Amino acid sequence: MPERFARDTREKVRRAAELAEAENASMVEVEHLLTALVDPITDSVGQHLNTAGLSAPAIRDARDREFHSALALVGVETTRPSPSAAPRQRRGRTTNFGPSAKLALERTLSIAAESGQRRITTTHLATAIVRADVGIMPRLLDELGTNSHDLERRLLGPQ
Amino acid sequence: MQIAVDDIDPADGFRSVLALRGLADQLESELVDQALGTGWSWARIGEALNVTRQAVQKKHGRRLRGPADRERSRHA
Repeated sequence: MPERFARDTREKVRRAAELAEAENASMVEVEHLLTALVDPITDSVGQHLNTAGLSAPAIRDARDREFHSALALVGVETTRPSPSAAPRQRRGRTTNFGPSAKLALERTLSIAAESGQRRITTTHLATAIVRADVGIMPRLLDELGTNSHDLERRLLGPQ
Repeated sequence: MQIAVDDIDPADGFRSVLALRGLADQLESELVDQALGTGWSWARIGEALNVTRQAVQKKHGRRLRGPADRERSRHA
């Protein structure tokens, strides 16, 4: 079993919480984890994702398009931007992790375990995030002009 | 518009449910702010939303907590 999160990985998770807090989201969600990998770009994982078209503004715009498409599917039209989950309840600064982020972090552990590496790296985290096959992630990646296979190929390189 | 669930893939349909919830929550928050700003009591907002005063205050009170709101909630 992998022993611990590498410092870079912990820093990305912390950054995701900061991003969620900045937009008054009640919880850290998987889209915040994804954004944290490219805002700022600090390693090759961020560079690979950025080369594939992922940046903070691009993800923000894609979230709006995903929101609008999900509503259009049931006949609702709006020009409002994608809301940040439920309105934040101000009690302290604790930001909780929502189910989508928790599941992504759980998958991060499994992926790290499968890799046989002792440290949980940002590559494991990024792979876990893009592998979500339900929720907003698949459509979000589609709106960004990519998909999980493309991103995993970039992240892991030729196997 | 009639929505035929049979024609919607569950993964897409659940995205719609999430988006509708998000939209409803966003509208509710903005309208609660607006109503309080124009003198509505928590009790009246609760009645309009068909929930108890306690429920609406619990959901929005902390977000809006400020001297004016605390004063208003005492008199709600």
